[in-house]
Parts: sequence; structure tokens; C-alpha cells
Amino acid sequence: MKNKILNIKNLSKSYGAFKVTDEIAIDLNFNEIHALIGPNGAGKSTLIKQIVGSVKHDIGSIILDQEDITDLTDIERAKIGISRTFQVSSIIPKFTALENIILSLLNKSNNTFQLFKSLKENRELHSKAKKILIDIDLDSKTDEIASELSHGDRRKLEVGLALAMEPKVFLFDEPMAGLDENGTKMMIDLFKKIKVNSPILLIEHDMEAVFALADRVSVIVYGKIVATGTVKEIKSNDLVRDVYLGYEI
Amino acid sequence: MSAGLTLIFGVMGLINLAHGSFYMIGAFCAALIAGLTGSFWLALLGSLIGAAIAGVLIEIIIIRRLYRRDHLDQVLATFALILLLSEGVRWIFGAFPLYLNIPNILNGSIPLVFEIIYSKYRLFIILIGLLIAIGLYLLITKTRLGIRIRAGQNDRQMISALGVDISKLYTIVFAIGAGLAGLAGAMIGAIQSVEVGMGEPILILAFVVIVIGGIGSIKGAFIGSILVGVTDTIGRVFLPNLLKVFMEPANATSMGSSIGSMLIYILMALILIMKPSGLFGKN
Amino acid sequence: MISEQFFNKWIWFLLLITPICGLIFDEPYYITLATKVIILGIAGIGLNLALGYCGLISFGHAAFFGIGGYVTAIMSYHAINNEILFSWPFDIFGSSDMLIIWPLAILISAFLSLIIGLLSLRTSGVYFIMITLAFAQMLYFFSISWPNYGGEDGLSIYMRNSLPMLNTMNPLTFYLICLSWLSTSIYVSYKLINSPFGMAFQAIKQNEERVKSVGIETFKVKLLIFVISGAITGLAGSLYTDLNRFVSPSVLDWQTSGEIMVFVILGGIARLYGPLIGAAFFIILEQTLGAYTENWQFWLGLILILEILYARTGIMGLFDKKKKYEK
Repeated sequence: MKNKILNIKNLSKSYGAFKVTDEIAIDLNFNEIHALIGPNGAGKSTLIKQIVGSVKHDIGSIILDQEDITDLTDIERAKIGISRTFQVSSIIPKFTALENIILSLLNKSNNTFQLFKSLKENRELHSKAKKILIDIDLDSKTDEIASELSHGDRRKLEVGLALAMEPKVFLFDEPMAGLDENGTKMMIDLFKKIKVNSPILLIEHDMEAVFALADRVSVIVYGKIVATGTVKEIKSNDLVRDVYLGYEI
Repeated sequence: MSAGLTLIFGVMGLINLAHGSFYMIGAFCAALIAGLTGSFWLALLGSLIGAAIAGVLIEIIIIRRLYRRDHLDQVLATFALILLLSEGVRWIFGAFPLYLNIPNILNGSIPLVFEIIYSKYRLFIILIGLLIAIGLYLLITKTRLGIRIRAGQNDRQMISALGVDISKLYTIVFAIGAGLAGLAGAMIGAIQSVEVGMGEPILILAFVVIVIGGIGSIKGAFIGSILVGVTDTIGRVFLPNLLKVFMEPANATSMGSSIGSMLIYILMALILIMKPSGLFGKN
Repeated sequence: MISEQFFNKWIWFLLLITPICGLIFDEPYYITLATKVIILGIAGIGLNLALGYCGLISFGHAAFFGIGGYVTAIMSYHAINNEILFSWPFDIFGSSDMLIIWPLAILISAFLSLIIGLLSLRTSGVYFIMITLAFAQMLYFFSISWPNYGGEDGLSIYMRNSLPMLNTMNPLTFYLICLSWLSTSIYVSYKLINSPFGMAFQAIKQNEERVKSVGIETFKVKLLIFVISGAITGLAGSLYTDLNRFVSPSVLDWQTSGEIMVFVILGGIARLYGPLIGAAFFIILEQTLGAYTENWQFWLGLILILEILYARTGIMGLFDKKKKYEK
């Protein structure tokens, strides 16, 4: 399994009798975008939470780059290379766009516990952060306060925070929700570029974007993965059509 | 006291440091009425009503604006209220302590089982405390008002959307809480003296009770108060004696009483360390 | 609109001019009052780091203020009486040298805040407020019932502790000593706030979840800032004991915690000079209103309530409205 960067087996979590995720097995190859689709409430976001570790799963294992991370905390997982975006933009509201990105750079650059060095004089962090702002097309808004950015810009910043961590894998939770056409196009180009270094597990409702981007697609319904395949396979899968046309399975 | 605070703290999600002030107001009302009429029972009633009226006024003028604020604002505003009310009362009544007399029926002690003698008045307090606890329980679980209170606790917006006048509801809850505190103040005032600042030690104790029990849980507050009471007694009575086994009596007494008075806070810290949201708290 | 920087320059001007006025009019009392403002300001600056910048609502900073005070008093008590402080593991004597007492007060209050922080930071929200309060109350009751050092009556030290070559009993000298500590603590805060670490703890106040998700160990960050905060407040406590040449359990009282919090809020939360302004305002109010009425705290309460309800940015916010990290 050398070619798998992220490998999740048998992941289950239930609240009482309700199974949010039910024996989920999903993996991520190098250089790949793996899209996860499914109706609302199917357990997509909970799955992400379990992968990053903010929600504990009951059973199952998570292997990242041949290292078993099942028992690590969310912060430890973030440190060794899992980075996520949030479905509802979660940024540092009173920081500028640039400061948001710099915050996200601190871990990799080991700067968090520099107590007395001026941050302003850290050229390296600043130039790195500015590069990322260019990547996410926010360089014109470097010094704007994050909470005053438009919805679309905040979505971009959200992705920027993930980029800055230089993780081993990305978990994107509906990064394109609410973006305009240009924004979506920018994201698609960006994702194609970054997947070379860090593959992406992508949750997205925008099917056009999914079909344009994904190397593989998995469909999750009621906490279970019902199908995995290429875009073409998924499009022609009867079961998937039923799910999306609203029939009971 | 704790019961009233739980109601405000838990149900309304408000940290009210000024609760001790209602306790004080109640005691002063009682002392005033007892002075005028000479009747202890009227005084008790007066304390309840007086503190409740003060509660209503303060809720409408100030507290109402704090529900949506963060904890910091609530802590500070009610801290400021303590200053305001304490000094206000000092202004009106002067700095000298007042005294309340216990009526004759409740004077003296009665023997209990196993020849333990207990003061009638303290027994009376315990009795009233139990009655209030039961009454509150019934109020919350059985009455229409209780149902609304619980609904408001879960979802403030929803119940106002259903046409319940939430701000009136909160004023009522706050007034009940304040009134109970006032009653407690009057009852304790008859044992101790009635003076400014009398509510503060009790207030902190009440917070400890609530935090141990878990915020918003009436069952928690009940068990919390028993735990605190028992721990406190153990700390004050048994610890010095226990320590005497190990060291000289004089040292043991001082050591024991210093550790004893810390014991409930140690208990609270321990419980919070093990269960960060109290014994019966929701996460 | 006056900028905060401009305002701060005026503060320095006032800090330097006050003792001169005191000398000219031969009113050493004013110098002592100004010293008190500075010391309480330092305590507030300590709390502001945790509360204002990191959002840790500690209702127990009296613990650090008090322990700093008691360390100072106990050290000098033993020095004056020439008694041994500890005889185990080796003989330790008291000292009345500030150069020994300061580091000790800082270290011990830092250690105390490490312990309290380790335990309390597991909780959050209301529980954090209450557990910090509980720890402070623990120390309060301990100090009341521990008879060796005065118990409820407190502990007097007859001579202010000394510094080599200086006469600390001179009000002006002591004022300048405190002033240099004030500038040190402001400088330290300034450096912290503008460092990468400062970015981390200020971000935690706004969105802790997000800070975790970018791989920053928020617990360690919070613990460290809590310890620094406690250490600064502890130092202030030490100076306060030397100012009054007296310490009593009231420095550990929960009202002290509340008052330190009031300095921070009155002056302007998360502003470098806010707590100093708050403390100054507090003392001025105490002196002026206190001269007319015994019930000056009534007006303090009123002002505080009005501020919280209507002007939430503190005194400094009235002058300088644009502030990046304000509440």
C-alpha cells in the first residue's frame, strides 16, 4: 500500500443507536483528489471531524503516510500533516488576511513559542504568507480585517489557512460553497496545482466542480460508503442515481 | 440561597455575583419590618417580597441587557452591582449591624434521636429549605411556568417565536431567585447579625455548590449542597482531631482549621479537574 | 480623535511630572498615591495579558497578587527577627534585600500560576472563572487561619525592604523603583503581544478551535501566558507589600481579584496602558469622592455598570476608537 498517503479502515462512530459513520473505508492516493459526495446529513462532515481527531471514533484505524495516527489528538494530527477547512468559514475574525495566514505558518516554522522576537521583522514568514495570498487570489486584500471580507474571500482565506500548513493531506469541507463563477474556477485551478504535493479529500456539493476535479468519487449515504469509482463510473452507477433522485435504497 | 441562584444561573445562563446582595436586602427588609411590627413572620414575608421587588427592578433596569453578553461582562456588571447595592444599603441603614429576634416558639432546642440536641430554629431553617427545594422541583417539572422556563433554557429564540413573552418570563424567574435569596438572608439574619457584606461569603459558597453540582442542574445543586455541607463539617470538626493523632495539639488545631476551611475549595477543584463541567453538568 | 500612541506619551509625561509636583508642593502623600497607582497598574497589566489578550477570564488573580505580597512580608519578617525560614534541606534565612525578594516573588507566583493553570485550564467558560476563584479563596482562608504569620490580622514589616545604595524609605526613590518595574512590565507585554507567541494567544481568544486546527498547542500557549500573567501580578503584590509595609489576607480576597479586573476593564481591555489608566481612575475616584462621601464605591459601581452597558471600550476607547483587537 505504498502509494496510499491516507488510509482509513472500518471507521465507525455512533451516538446511541444512531450510526453517524458506519464501517467507513476510504483512502487517498498520492497526487489525487478524492471527492466525497452524498446528501445532507450523510455523515460527511462528521467523517472529516473524525479524521482530524476533533471527534473520537469508536472503532477503526487511520493511517497517514504509513504511520498509525489513530490514537493521536487533533493537535498532534494537525502538526504531522492533516489540515482541514471548515464548512462554515472559521477564521480569526479580528486578524488581517495576512495575519491569519501567518498564524497558520507558525507551526511548520516552529515559531509559536518565540516570545520576544518581533513578528513584524520576520521577513521570511511575511514573504511566505504573501505568496500564499497570491495563490488564493487575495493579495489585493492583504491588510483587510478578516471579518470584513466578503463571503467568497473568507472561503478563499479558509483554504489559504490550510495551504499555509503545508500538510501531507488536505481535507476540504465544501470549499466552493457560495463562491461565484470566478472563485470556483480559481479554486479548481488551485486544487489541481496543489494536489501534486498534497492530495485532497474533497467534500463538495457543486457537482460540476466535483466532476471537473475528482480522480475518484465516493458516495456516502447514512454513514455508509455505497460506491467508489471514477467520475465516469459514478455517473453511470444506478445506486447513486437512485440516491440522488431520492429513492430509498 | 443556592436554589435561587441555580434558578438564575442555570436557567437563565447568567452569572449573577450580585445574588448575595439580595440576600442582604432580604435580611435588611426583615430587620426593618420586624422593627416596625415586631412580628417575625411578617418580617420573613417582607424579606421575600422586598428582595423580589428589588430583583424585578434590577432585572428590568440592568440585568436584562446582560443576557446576550459574554461571561466577562456579566461577572463585571454584577460585581459592580454588589458595590452599588452594598453601599446603597449602607447609606440607608448605616454601617451598624441590626439584629433580628427569633420568635419564642422556635427558641430553645429539642432532643432528636440518639439524644442529639438540636436548636429548634436551625431545624426550622432546614425544614424551610427542604420545602423550597420540593416546591421548586414541582414548579419546574409540573407547572406551566416551569415548562416555559425549561423551554427557554433550551432554546430562547424558539419559545419567543411561539409567543411566550420571554423577557417577562425572565423577570419572573429572576424575581423568584432574588426573593428566595432574600428569605434565606432573613432566616440567617436571625442567627447572625444583619450587616452589609453578609451575603458575600455565602455567595461564594453558593457558587461552589452550583459548580460542583453542574450548572443548571437542580439535582446537582441539591447534591452539591449536601456534599459541601458534609465536607465543611468534616473539615472543621474532624480534621483538627484527626491531626492531633500525628502532631502536637496546638499545632494540630491551627493546622486543622486552616486546612479545614480550604477543604470545600479543594473539593471543588478536585471535582472540576475530574469532571470539567460538574457532577451533573452537560458538556 | 487622539491616537493611542499620542495618549501613551501623555501618560509618560504625567508619570514623570507627578512626583515633581509632589516635591514642589511638599506633599509626599501624592507620591505615595502615585506609587499605588503604578503598582496596581502593574497588577492589572499582568491580568490583562491573560484576560484581555488571551480571553482567560481569571477571577483569581488575587492569589498571585497576594502570594507575591506574602512572600515579601515573610522573607523580611524572618530577616528582621533573624529567624530561620526553613531548616530543611539546608538552612534558609529570610532576606530584606529586594534583589533577592523580587526574583523569589516572581518565581513563586509563577510556580503557583503554573499549578493553578495546569488544573484550571482543563475547564473553560464559567467553570474556569469559578475554579480560579476557588483557588484564590483557598489561599485566602489558608492565610486567615494560619497563625504563624499574623492570620487574620496580617503581618507588618517595620522597615521597607532595601536595595543596595538606595534609601527605599524615601517616597520618591520607591516611586522610581516602581516606575522602572512598570516600564519593564509594559515593555515585556509589548514584546509579547507583537511576537509570534503573541499572535497565537490573541488568536486563541477569538477562535480557539481554528488555532488548534492549524497545529498550535493551545493548552501550552494558554498555560504559558497564564504563568507570565501570574508572575507579573505577583511582582506587583511584592511591591504593594513594600509600599504599605504590611500585608493582610485582604490582598487574597475575591474582591481584590474583582478590583484588578476592574482596572483592566475601566481602562480599556487589551490595551497596553489600559490597566494603568484604570488603576489611576480608581484611585482618583477613591480620593476625590471618598473625601465627600463614605459611599464612593456606590458611584464606582454605577460608573462601572454604565461602562459595561454603554461604553464597552474603556476609558482609552473614548479617545482612540480604532483598535484592531478590541472586543
